[in-house]
Amino acid sequence: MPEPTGIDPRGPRFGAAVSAVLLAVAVVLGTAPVATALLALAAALFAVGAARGPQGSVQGWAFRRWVRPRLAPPRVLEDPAPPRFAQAVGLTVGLAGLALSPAIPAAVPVAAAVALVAAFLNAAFGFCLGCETYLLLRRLRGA
Amino acid sequence: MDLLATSGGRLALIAALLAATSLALLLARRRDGVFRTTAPAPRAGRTTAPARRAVVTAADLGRPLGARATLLQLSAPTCATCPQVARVLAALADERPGLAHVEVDVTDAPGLVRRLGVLRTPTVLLLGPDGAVLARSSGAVDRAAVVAALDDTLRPGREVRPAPDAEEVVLSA
Repeated sequence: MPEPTGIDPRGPRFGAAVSAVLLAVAVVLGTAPVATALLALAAALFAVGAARGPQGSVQGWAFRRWVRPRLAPPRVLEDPAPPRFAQAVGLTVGLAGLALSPAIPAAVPVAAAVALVAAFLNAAFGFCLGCETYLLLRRLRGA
Repeated sequence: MDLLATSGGRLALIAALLAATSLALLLARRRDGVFRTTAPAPRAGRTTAPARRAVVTAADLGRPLGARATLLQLSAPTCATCPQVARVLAALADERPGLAHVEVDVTDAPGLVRRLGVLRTPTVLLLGPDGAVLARSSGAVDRAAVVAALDDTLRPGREVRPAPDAEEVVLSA
């Protein structure tokens, strides 16, 4: 397996916490238009993170700018590929909710709730979405 | 449901959902790193036939098996836990002659993944000298659990002990 190129593992967890807050507010707002806007914002942030990795995401920038200066240096560095995969999954869930919402308004709070659970478990417990879902997703795609 | 119609209701539901999923995760994690010995599966309809365990060959891996045992780790590029497990297993393999650590990316071995029924990464399989799958665990492991699995699962006389000087290095570290 390749050696990790090395990012502070607290960065993606901070990013997941930010996503979780956004998504929680979206769920609470239900099917109101603002909820859809928040889900779209969360999806846009996921898109940046999926394309550029957690260090290139908006939350990553905010982490480096405001959070990391207040922390001790990281004890270990991690590979950015797993958090990047988690961002891609979040993006997919968000886009599915947005795509279904004209026909099924409840798709917005439901998609937000699904993404919220993953983001929350990652932020609070370091839950590794890629560890649990990579193989299952490959099976679904017929690999 | 009326509960879903109010923001207060939805907030309460989120809190309950997050509490429930947190509990589920913490309970599931208790099984991480626990090695379960694989009992030989009886062959259907033929109770007198010898039972078979799954076998992994050097050809399957493209690498030789350990002379006495192999710790086969199945990893994924999206697996945050895998590098640290690889470090623990590689260190053990360095200390113990005849013990090999082989790490395989599941992306490159879909047939093996299917045959072994692997659902999550990392999954660690303890193989005997003939490649038989003797025990398996998934999720993060700690060194003590792997050592216990090595000592408990391999038949007496075939345990994989540390080389004498390797043990001294570990004790003085």
